[in-house]
Formats: sequence, C-alpha cells, structure tokens
Amino acid sequence: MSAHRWSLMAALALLASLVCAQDTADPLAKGEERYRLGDFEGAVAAYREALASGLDGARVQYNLGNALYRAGKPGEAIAHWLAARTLAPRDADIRANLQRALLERPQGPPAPSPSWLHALVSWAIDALTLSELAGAAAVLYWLAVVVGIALLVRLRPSRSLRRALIALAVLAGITTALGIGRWWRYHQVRRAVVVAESTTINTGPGESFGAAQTVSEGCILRIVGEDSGWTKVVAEGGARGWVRDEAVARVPGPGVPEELAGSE
Amino acid sequence: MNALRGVVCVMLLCALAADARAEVDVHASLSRDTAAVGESVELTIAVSGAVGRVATPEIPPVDYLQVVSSGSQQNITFVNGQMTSTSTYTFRLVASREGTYTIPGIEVRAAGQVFTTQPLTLTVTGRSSAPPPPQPGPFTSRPPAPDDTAPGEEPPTEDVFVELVVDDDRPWVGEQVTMSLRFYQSTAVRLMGSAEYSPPSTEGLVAEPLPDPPTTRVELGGLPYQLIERRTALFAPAPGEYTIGAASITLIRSYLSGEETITTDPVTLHVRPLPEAGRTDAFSGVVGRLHATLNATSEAVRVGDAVTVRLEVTGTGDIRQLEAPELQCGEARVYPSGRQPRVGPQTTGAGDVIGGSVVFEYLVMPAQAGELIVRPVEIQYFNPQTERYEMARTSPLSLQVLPGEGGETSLRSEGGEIRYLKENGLGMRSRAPITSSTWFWLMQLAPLAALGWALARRVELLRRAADPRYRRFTEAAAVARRQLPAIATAGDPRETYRLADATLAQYLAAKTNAAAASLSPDDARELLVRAGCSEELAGEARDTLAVLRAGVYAPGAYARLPADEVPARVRTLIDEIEAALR
Repeated sequence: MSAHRWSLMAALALLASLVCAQDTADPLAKGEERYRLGDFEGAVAAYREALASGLDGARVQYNLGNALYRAGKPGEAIAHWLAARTLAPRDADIRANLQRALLERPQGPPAPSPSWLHALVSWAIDALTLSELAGAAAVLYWLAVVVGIALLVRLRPSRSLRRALIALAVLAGITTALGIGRWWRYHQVRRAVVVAESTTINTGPGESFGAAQTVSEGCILRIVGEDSGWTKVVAEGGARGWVRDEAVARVPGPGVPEELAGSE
Repeated sequence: MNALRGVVCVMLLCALAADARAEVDVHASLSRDTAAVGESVELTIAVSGAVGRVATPEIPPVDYLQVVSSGSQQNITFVNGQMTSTSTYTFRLVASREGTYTIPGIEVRAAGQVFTTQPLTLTVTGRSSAPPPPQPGPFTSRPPAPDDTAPGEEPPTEDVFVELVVDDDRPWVGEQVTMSLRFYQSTAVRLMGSAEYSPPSTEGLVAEPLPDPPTTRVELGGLPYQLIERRTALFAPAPGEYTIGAASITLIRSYLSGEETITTDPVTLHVRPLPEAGRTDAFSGVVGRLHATLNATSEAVRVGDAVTVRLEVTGTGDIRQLEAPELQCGEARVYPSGRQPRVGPQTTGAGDVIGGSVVFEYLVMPAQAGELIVRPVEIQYFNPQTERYEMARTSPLSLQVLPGEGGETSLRSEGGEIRYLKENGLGMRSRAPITSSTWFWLMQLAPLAALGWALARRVELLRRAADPRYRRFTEAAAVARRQLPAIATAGDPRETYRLADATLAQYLAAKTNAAAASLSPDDARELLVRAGCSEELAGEARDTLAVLRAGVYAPGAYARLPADEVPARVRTLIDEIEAALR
C-alpha cells in the first residue's frame, strides 16, 4: 500500500512537472489557451513572451494582434498585423483582420492609391515576400541568360529565340524592380502605429513646439528619425513632425527590436 | 412788298434774339464741395436757352488746382415748335494740396453776351487713401495720362517722394484691399546705392505680398519720374477701423549728405461688416468669388473598398480659411482624408488678386452595391462686387458600386467577430529573406561567366565568317582529324597513302595559306618555317609528305613508313604543328 502511494505521488509529481514544463516551454500554446478563456491580457503577455523567445513568425504576430485587438488595443494590433502581413502577405485572415481594424479607425481606411499604376505596383510588391520576388527575379534572370547564350553562339539566331529573350528580359526587369521596391520596404521603411487615443504631431521634438496635426489611434506613421524620446514621423496625410515615443508602437521588422515593438 | 417782308423778318429775328437773350441761363456747380488731395471733382457749367454758338468757357487759374480733363455736350430739342438748347461743359479738377479753393466767376460767351457764373468753393482735405481716378490702376504700368502733362499743372515740389495708397478704404470684412507703396524718383536725381524700403505696419490685418510691377517711367507736372511700386494684399478679419502705419524709404543722395528718410502718411481702413441678409449656414466666410467641382478617382468601386472623392474649390479671396464641407451621400461611410490648399497671387482681368484652389479629399466607402449618389455641395460666399451672398454649387456625383470581391453586396456589420487565432499554419519564426544569403548572390555570378564565354564564342564565329583564310587556318586540324578514321580503315596500302597524302597536304596548305594541289614537300617545309614552326618539325613534315607521295606511286616506300603507322604519324604531326602554331 505504501509502495502504491509512493508510486501515485511520483506519477502526479511527474504529471505536474510536465504540465508546468509545457506551460513555460510553449508560451504560444499558453497564449492560445488564455485567448480561448477570454483572458486577452494574459494572451498578450504569453505572445509577447513567445516573441521574446525568438518566435517571431507570422503566426505569432497574427495571434498577438488578435489578442491585442480583443484586449482593446487596436493600434498595437494593427502594428502586429502589419508585421504578420509582411511575413505572409497573401494570408486571408491577416488581411481581413487588418482591413477591419483600419476601417474602424476614427480616420477610416488609408487613402487608395492615386493612380491605377501605383495601385498595381503596390499590390505586386505587397502580394509577394521579398524571398519570393528575389527568387522569381533570379529564375527569370537565369532563363534569360540561357536564351541569350543560345542566341550568341548562333550566327543566325531564330526570331522566336529573340522574342523569348526580350520577354524574359522584360519580366526579369519588372520582377527585379519589384524586388528592389520590396527590399526597400522590408529593410529601409520603418513604420509605427499610433497607440494613444489621440496624440499630436509636433513641429519639433518637444512639447514646446507647436502641433502640426492631431492623429488618432491606429494611424500608420512612417518613421524618418529619432531623438531622445521623440520619433520623427510622416503621417498618412503627408504631415511631418515629431511624436512622443510612448504614443506609438513600432511595427516589428528588420532593425526593430521586439522590446520596441509595441508597448505594455 | 419785298421791303416790307424784309423788315418783318428783321423784326422777327430781333424779337427772337431779344427773347433768347432774356431766356439764357448760365449755371456752374461742383459735384461735391469737399474732396481729398488727388481726388477729382467735376465742375459743370450748364448754358441753357442760348441759340447759336456758345464759346467754350475758360476756367480761371487757381493755384494747386488743375484741370485734368474737359468735355462738352449740347442738346437741342423742339417742343411745340419752340427750340430749346442746352450746352453742358464739364471739367475734372484735381487739387494737389490741402486747403480751401475759391473758383472765381467763370465767363461764358453766349448769344453775343458775356455771362459770369457764381464763384464756387472747394475744400480739399489730406491725401486720399484711394488713387487719383484719372490714373490707371496700380496693376498696370502707368501710361502718360492727361493729368501728367496737363498744361498749368504744378510739378511736385520734391524730386524724391513716396506715397502709400489703397485701392479701397471701405472694404468688406475679408475683402482684398491692395495696398501700394509708390516710390517716385525724378530721373534727374541720382542716389547713392539703393533706397531701403521699410514696409508699413499692418497690425490686425492679414497681409499677402503681391508680385512687384516693373519699374516704370511717368511724368508728373511735365517732369519725368521713375516709379517703383511694392504691393500687398490685405484682408481684414473683423469690421472696424484699421490703421496702416506709415511706410518709409531711407536713401542717401550724396557722399556729403547723410541718410534721408521719407515717410508716408498712415492710411485708415474703415472695414464694413458683412450684411446679415441672405447669409445662410453654408456661408464659408470667403469674400470673393468661388467655383466648386466634384469628382472621384474612379467611377466604379466595390463594396468595402474606398474611393477618393475630390471637392475642388477655386476662386478669389482668402480661400485658405475654407473648411471641409460635409459630404452627403447614401449608403456609404465618408472620412475626410485630406486638404490641399494652393493659394497665392493670381493675375486676373481685374489685376493681381489672392486666390487659387483648395482641394478637399474624402474617402468614401460604399456599404451597398448599386448606384451611389454624392449630393451636390453648396458653399456660400459674399461677392463684394454685387454686394450679395452667392452660392457655389457642384453637380451631383454618381458612383457605380459593385459587389465586393467575395460577392457581398453590403458591408458586414461592425459587431462581427474578427477572424480567429491560427493554431497551425504560417511560420513560427521569421526567416531571413534569401537576399540575405551570400550564396544567393554568388549564384547570380555564374550566368555572367557563361555569358562571357558565349560572347567570346560569338566574336570567334563572326571572325571566321568574315575571314575565310582565318576560318581555314583554325578549322584545318579538325577537318584533318575527321579524315583519320578513313585513312586507318582504307585497307589497301596504296589507298592509305593516297588518303593520308591528301589529308596532310590539305592540312599543311590550310595552315600555311597555300594551295593543296600544288604544295610540294619542300614548299611545305619552307612555308611551315615561315609560319613559325621549327626547322626540325618542318623537316619532319616535309619528309612525311614526301614518303606518303612516294608510297602512292612506289610501293618501295612502304618500308620507310608502314601503312598501319600512317594514321598515327599524321595525327602526331598535326598535333605537333597545332602546338607550334597556336
């Protein structure tokens, strides 16, 4: 009987340790569980823990965005959904939730592109990841070189080969240009989202400067500079100025440490 | 009888003349008793009842009061057989100094008599804020005007002077007033350096600089002056009196004289409030003229997508103050998204005015498929010319709303849930793009190397095509090596020697640019040496060729080179010559 008791206690201890180990080792699962239970703040904390542990993929960003949105922080949710869209640009769920949050902003959805060409280029850049665009450009470039070699080593090249080369060169050029645009957005364009209910874009890095524009939560800003607690931004409408760091959440991405992306 | 008729006529004429003499009335009057310096006053002399010629009256000279223009008009009417004549002479007078002027009685010769009008008194106050009417507007260069060269005009007492004028000293609130600072400098005067201009204070007024007109040359009192003008548009934000402070110009006439500052008189604006009658809630606050248009970036839009609707308001006046009017349409959400003012000086038929356009942008997101009508936008403004409120009204805008990409014909309600968590799928970790890999970029260099080889190959092909001798030289070894199997399988020794001789001769001829048919062994040796082969190799080639030819005709030669060794010998020789001539 005593042996059975000890065995039972050992089994329970092992089970408890396993549960605790899973709880601490898989913050993603913990976040999902908290979310299911309606503890959205707890889910946010768990997903932030996941991010801190290096799990920064599209799934984590998306789920964190969902938890933040349900926790009443649409600005931060938009920031993480934007990050998720960068990693998985064609995912329907990410796009749907992001569009919904943007529609619900006080200022409404972002302005549509000024021309169909701009819209087409933006769509093409946003619809593919940098790796997909770079890979496509590389494949087209290789094919164009192969056809080019076939043309060069013949004294009388066929017309169809020439046409194929022109088509491949044009496609490779377009894909490369789109890839450069995507690379620029991926590496050079840093964005932030207003998380305060309302904040002013000042003409300088300080409260003593005048307000250039007032922006509300969810407004997407492009970061162009930083200065001790203030971030220089360009707003969606084109206004340029400075906002307090705590009023915005940086969209996670290259060059943006996770501790800066979003605020507790 | 005739004499009697003549007497009657003379008596009748005398009676008429006597009657006319009795009815003639001469009257002089001024259009107003008080005027400001520079303002014109109309002096009218009316002569009624006079029959016959009336001599144009002459205005007696009065100091600082000049006649800038004159005109006359005569009306003759017949009523009930009676003729009535009225002659009117009009003179425009301008005073150049303050004071009270008495115009003495003016003599009028009519009906053979001299009539004298009553004296007239004109009081002239300080310089007017309005420019003298006879002068052209401040927006054009000033041509020689009648007042500039009018006989008897008193020339300005100063050779350098400035004046500050406004085109309207009783504007409406928000109406543009053009303020001009005019700097006159006699062409006979030379200044040291440039005159420094100090603008007047326009406290309480909104000031907007206008383009400077070019420097012009004018005549004042018969003297030539250079006129430099600086203009500013002013807007009063509220009714009341506003004082435009004195402007000044600082100049130096010579090294010996010091700085001299010339100052203008201040000008007072009496700004009138806008009338209440006719003002509606749509009043924009703009005083000027407005025109509005409505358009969209696309005529068709899907449910849930947004289209930009642009309201462009163009016109004159201080339209920067325009606020975005509310855009009203059916089943759609409307978000004001932008405001782009482009306001500045504009040249119109009425001169330089502040105006331009303000474009308001709205994001319109239709919520229901079908036709979406954006209602006309109305913006009320006050037209200072008609002194009434007027309305700028757009046409309605029709948008075609298509079902959403998912086929939905109406927008989802806001109360819906967001899409659920992802428990699988998508990446757990973000992966660096392939552009971060060095291998990716190294792999892109390989096609470049292949392309370089192909390019070199093409150059070679083109050279061979263009130069038959070069092609024969470079392809000789390949051609000869292709013949070697036939030599080895000839069977008959004699045929072996014949084929080998032909192959080697063709090869040597190609390498030395000679004719194969006439190539002797000695010629081959000599040509090979000349081409760069060693004496030993050339001699070996000569010997081999000689043996092969001998073998064709003399089987005794077989002992020197057995037939089965011929292909190897020829191959070796070709290889050595190729190496030597590479």
